[in-house]
Amino acid sequence: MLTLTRKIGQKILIGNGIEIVVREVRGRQVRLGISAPHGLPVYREELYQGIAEENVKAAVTPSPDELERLYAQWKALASAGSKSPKTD
Amino acid sequence: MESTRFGRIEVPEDRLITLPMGLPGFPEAQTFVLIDHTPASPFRWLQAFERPDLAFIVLDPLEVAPDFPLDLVRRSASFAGIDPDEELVVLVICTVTQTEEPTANFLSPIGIGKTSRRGAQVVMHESGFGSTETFLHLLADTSGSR
Repeated sequence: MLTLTRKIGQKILIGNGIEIVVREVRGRQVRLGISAPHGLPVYREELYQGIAEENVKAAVTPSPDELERLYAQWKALASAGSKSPKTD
Repeated sequence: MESTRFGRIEVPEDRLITLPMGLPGFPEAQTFVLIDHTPASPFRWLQAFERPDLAFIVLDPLEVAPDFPLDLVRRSASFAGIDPDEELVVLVICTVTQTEEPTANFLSPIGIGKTSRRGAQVVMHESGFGSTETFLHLLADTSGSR
């Protein structure tokens, strides 16, 4: 991995479209400014991993039976909800 | 196309959905098909085109959260090549297990352009929503909306 030393306000350019600037260093925290082309999503790594884990969990289990059960629960709750008196 | 859950299904090419970045955890799955559950059901299947075994239960978040910030989804998903003016289909992935109450990932909805049929799963940093929100109880609060 390439490791570079930078001072506050100094930048790193990646290719000709991505720019990272060190904004602030406070103790063990670093604030970075990132400019990237419109087509490029930027994620905090742990947030991306969290979504990935949730996606994997969601993909493992569902079967048509599971959905039938979920939909039955939904219908029961929805009809209970619509029978409650309207407040207007 | 083949699918583990639904067997062999015919899909016209214009029904295919492209998620150019894939889904986090499944970056290789970039082409999907939406399969309705039943006509009255709010749920649908998001079935991966090249992976017969990969399918998600998805839900339009507006069904349970009428104030869901669609503008934020549109802004976050713009990188996928969605036209700023086209209508969006917004879906959240449900996690349904035998043991736990179903949850949905409201933090990371999938926005898909209705015309371009391109989309992305986004992160809505400022939304206040979480990735494992229970949602069935919200039905009681949106009484009469269905």
